[in-house]
Amino acid sequence: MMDAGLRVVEIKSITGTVDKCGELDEHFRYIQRRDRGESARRYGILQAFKKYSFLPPVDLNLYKGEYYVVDGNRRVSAAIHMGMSYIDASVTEYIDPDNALDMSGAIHRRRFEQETGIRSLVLAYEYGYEFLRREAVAYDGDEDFSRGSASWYSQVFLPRCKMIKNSILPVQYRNLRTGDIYVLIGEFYNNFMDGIPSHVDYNSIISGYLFAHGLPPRRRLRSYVYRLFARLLLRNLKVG
Amino acid sequence: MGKPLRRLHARIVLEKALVFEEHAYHYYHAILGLTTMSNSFDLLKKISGQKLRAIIMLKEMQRKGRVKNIEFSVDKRYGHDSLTSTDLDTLCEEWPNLKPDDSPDTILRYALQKEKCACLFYRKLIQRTRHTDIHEVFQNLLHEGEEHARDIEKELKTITA
Repeated sequence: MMDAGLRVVEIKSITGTVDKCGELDEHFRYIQRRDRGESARRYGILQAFKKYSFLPPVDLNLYKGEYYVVDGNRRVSAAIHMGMSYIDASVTEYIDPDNALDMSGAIHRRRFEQETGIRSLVLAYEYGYEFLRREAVAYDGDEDFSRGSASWYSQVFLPRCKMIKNSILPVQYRNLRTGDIYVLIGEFYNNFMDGIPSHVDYNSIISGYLFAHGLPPRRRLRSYVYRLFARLLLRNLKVG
Repeated sequence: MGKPLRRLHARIVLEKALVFEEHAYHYYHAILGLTTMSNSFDLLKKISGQKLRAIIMLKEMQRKGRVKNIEFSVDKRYGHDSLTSTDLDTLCEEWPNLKPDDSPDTILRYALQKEKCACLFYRKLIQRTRHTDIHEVFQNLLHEGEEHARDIEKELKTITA
């Protein structure tokens, strides 16, 4: 059990509660009417939030990338009701000490979070944090490190993840998050050709990865009409 | 030729090169997995990596029309004519299907033949295009093909020695 500190947590990654199991619905509201004061307490939190635009941090447990509410079910419920995507939380992390893979993954993640200051990045396979940390370190090393990694996150990681999201890769790797696919592509190019070719658009990098893994996107220039046109233009040139 | 037609022509020329490089990549990738080729693993990995890089560059060029600071790992000391020109038709037959009992020597000879074919192919393409950026890309691919051919010849010598 480790104190993971105060952090901003994506509400959709809060998947359960610790001691109210079976009592709450998916919006963290009581399924059965609890007592007369319940709706007043809920109303009070909503009013306070509307007035101050702020909720005190909730207490969460983190286990295998998912968050469970220890204290603050009503605040989470209010945040969902208000359509918020993120909430402040004080997080305690649980790691199975007998599982070496989990342990080393958690170490990589904590190192990544401490060195880069980025805590909102979630991977399904935590060994990928080491790859991301090395990439963030290599990016603009002259600057103040945390500032450099923040710009790596906003200028490199997020735009590339958006391109990955728009490709067919999330359909091919359903059990992976976008960040995991980013790591997968990066590691493939590192192993195969000493890193991603520079000065190349990331969409081309993705299509290279797709090709190398036998997942070629549809190519219009391979259609019959284009091939016929090509034959006319490039007569007498045989391709092996 | 009008501008849109010229652009289409450029894309089709690049597509030809792309098909060629994709076949080459598939061939090298297939032989990379053969246990009989374990001694040549580093060379084959290097070549297939360079083939993949070429594919990415060609796709980029097709998409954008130009590539900024093209990176090809080629040794430009060697001239164009370091390989003997053989008839394109005899060199560029169908890509061979690998058989389980093919010896490393045979497999590398196929690869050498294909690299020589690549050189002739790019020379032909260079003659057929006036687009300077495409010219530069094909020149680089030609140099790369020559370098691969030399490396494979060297590897063949060590195998047969």
